[in-house]
Amino acid sequence: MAEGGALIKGTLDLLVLKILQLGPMHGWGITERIEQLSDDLLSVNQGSLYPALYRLVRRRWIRTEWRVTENNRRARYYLLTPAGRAQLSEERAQWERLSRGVNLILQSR
Amino acid sequence: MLARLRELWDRLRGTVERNALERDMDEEFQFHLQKATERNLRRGMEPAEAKLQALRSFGGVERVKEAARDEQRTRWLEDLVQDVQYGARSLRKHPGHAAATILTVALGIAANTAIFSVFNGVLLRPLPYPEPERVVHLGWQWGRGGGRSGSLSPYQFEFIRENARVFAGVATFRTFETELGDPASFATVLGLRVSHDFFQTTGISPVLGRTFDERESAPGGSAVVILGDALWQREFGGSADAIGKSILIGGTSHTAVGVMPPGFRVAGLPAHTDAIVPLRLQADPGDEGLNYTVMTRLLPDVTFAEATADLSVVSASFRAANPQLGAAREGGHVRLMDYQDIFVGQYLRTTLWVLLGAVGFVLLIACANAANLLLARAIGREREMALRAAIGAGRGRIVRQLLAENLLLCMIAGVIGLAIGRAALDLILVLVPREIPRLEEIGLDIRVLAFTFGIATLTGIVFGLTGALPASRPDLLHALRTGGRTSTSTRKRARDFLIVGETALAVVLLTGAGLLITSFARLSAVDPGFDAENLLAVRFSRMPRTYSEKESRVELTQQLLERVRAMPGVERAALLSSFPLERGYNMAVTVDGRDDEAVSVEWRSVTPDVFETLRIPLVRGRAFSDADRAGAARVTIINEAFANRFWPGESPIGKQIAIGRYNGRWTNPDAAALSEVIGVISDIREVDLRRSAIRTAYVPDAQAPVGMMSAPKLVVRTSQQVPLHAAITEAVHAIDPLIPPPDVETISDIVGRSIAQDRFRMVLLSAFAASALLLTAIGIYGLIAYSVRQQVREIGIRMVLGAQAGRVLISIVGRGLILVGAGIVIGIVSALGLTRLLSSVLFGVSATNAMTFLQVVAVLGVTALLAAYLPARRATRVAPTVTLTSE
Repeated sequence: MAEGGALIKGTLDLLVLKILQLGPMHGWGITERIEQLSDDLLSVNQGSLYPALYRLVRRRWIRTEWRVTENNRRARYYLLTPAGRAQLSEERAQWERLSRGVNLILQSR
Repeated sequence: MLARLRELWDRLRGTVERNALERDMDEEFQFHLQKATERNLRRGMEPAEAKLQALRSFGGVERVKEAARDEQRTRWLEDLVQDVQYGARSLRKHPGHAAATILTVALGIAANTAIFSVFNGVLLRPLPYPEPERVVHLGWQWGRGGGRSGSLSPYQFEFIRENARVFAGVATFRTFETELGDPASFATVLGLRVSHDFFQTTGISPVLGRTFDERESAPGGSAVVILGDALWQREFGGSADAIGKSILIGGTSHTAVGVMPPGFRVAGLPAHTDAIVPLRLQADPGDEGLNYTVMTRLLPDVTFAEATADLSVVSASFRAANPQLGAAREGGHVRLMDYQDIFVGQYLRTTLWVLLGAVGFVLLIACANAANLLLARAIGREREMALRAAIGAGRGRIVRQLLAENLLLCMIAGVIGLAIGRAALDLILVLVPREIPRLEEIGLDIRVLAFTFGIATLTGIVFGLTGALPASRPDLLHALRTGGRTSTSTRKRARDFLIVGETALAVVLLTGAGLLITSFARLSAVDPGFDAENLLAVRFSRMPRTYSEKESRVELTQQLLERVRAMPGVERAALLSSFPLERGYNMAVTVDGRDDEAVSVEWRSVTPDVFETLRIPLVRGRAFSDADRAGAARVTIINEAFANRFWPGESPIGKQIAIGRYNGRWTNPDAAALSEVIGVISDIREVDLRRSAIRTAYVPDAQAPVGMMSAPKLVVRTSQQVPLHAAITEAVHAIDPLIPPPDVETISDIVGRSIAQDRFRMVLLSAFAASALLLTAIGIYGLIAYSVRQQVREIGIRMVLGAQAGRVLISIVGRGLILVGAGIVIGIVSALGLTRLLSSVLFGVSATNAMTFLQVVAVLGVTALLAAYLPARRATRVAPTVTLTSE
């Protein structure tokens, strides 16, 4: 876990939703995907991943299913719901606004 | 909203399905850790190291679980349990404070429970019939500013029954009391005569046998009876064989055709009915006496508006068909009436509403005191609150916790209040006037329980929030540093506000009570026009059948009077058809042949000595004598109100009046003769102490219809109070053992009973006002005592520096008095508005009586002064060294 790779508060939800948009995945898989896709720049604090997942379930943005993995093991998979899809595009727009704003400021002379 | 509900449901489910969720979570985390360990192994770690590293990066399984649990469950539910547990602990820690608060609130709740039980029993409980909301009563409204009546004439009843199309049944009924079986047994039957539709209308049918058929309900039908449950059990042992058997009622053999279910009753009538027989009405248009209560049941799906519309059509055809009748003039019409309009009446309704309002005020004052106690304690607890806030409790959580504590407190108070209220109800029922309808239905039922716990909860929320909101915003630094010894201004304002509020409420209650006390005193002081001292009232319930003939009855009463007059200590004795201040007969009267101008007058049959016995002065003419007997010229004595109505400024002696003649007809053929006025007596309070000058005509018993004295009343004037009860009972028995023993009481008892409702109202409101005064005094005392404790140092310093005790005293007391003064002003303004509600029940005093208001201000002022002075004086008496070292 690289120092400085900790996530900005509130971005974890966005990342989880995005990962799940690619397909159903279990908790561990989500951790791995985030690290892979960010070229190990980002790492998930695993302690906050599960509470976040349960929160998203409660808000009905994602739902769960027990499935069997490719190695024939039982695991809880998370799936994006239609509401979650809508939420993702909204959070994504927000994020883009935020990062553009921050960048503009940082690049100013 | 929907989403929130769903979320709530999920969380609730989360709480319930805790085990399943825990198992899932365990499995999920195990899987995660295994995957992490596998990756670490792949990266070349030793197995033990790989596992440890996985655990470490997961960040503590238990911590994650706890965080995850929070996301899944109803945290607030568990918080609530915790809050209540915490509350209970905190109450146990301060038992004195808790007990004082609980007791204050419990007493307020008790008073409310008791009064609401009466209110509920009389005004709220549905009528004892199936689908009670469809049962309505009918009355008559005279046209254009005319009066209204809650009863109809037999002809009006029949007319509506035949012509109205919105009713499933239109019924009328009458109670009667007669002998059962062998007259020597003195057994009495409480009976009900009912018209044909009665069973359809009430919706209650016999459980055994049948109702009356058309022929039995019509004049000339055979003697049949439907038994009440109690009589059936008593006489026939509850056997089904009773149907078809005969039973002797009022000396006539009746065939039993049915049995009513147990608990059957007609609302507004005595609870118990032994026998139901057909009421056979003669629907004579000329009999305009409105003597029948009419009850109907609306057809299913008929609305009140439709019923009113139909009745106005019926009324129009009634007017068109009977233009000669008084009731038909100027658009008189049938009106729908409530059960309450007829049986409860405006007085009683006002009384119950006023009392309910009054106990509500008492509870509010109790709440104010409880909130004050809470605020005082909140200041002591400031440190605790600050500490809780400092370690991260949200403001909402603190308010919730205080609220839970207070709700717990109020629930305990509710339970205690219910118990005390139950006991208080028994006390109130002793005071309740006997004539209140449905008295026996007063008790604790589900509605009372709901009410009690409803107000307990409300109380908890109201005073809990009053106390909790200011306490929930602690000034952390300040509180922690000073140890919570000084109060903040919000809290002080809240307490001041409470004192002003409760003083104002107390003023309103005291004013109401003051007005009722004055009114009751005036009513009690009314000269009834007769001398009630040393006057016995002997009441016969009925006479055996052998005396239904005039001669035998007159002979009997002569004998009775002779025997009573011979008793030691008896000065005079007389019989009359009804006691003063009780309901008697009334009758239409016309004079001088002016047949169209009939006036309703009270009508009394009396024996000659009656005016001397009651000591009613004769103003003109002569009294009755034994010469005014059956065959002699018919005579009458009238009162001044009667004389002034027809012959103002003129002597009525020698005039002829027609008692019972109306529209050219005699209503009572037995008394179809003119009577000559031979005397005038001064007015007495004939039917009600409140009403003077009711037109009354007295006729000698020997010339009156025998039916008037079917239950004779005997008045006995004694020289002092002599116990004659046994002697009179013996004398009656000696004359004829078949006469049921009479009730003996005094005329004063009757006078007292006639104002029983006024006494009831006055005593209860006074009790509530006294509690209000006491609670307010306690509140003021508490406030001043507390502020003295707060300022003890300051007072000490001022005393040391040479301030005079008197000045210090004034400054402390003054603050209390300013609040009380504000409360009094607000209270008086409110009272001016609210006492108007009492206007209709007040006698001889106006609702804005200045004297009463002044007295209230004086009483409250003195009480407040005392309540503020006591703690203040104590403060100035303490040695300065003590106060200065008290920190």
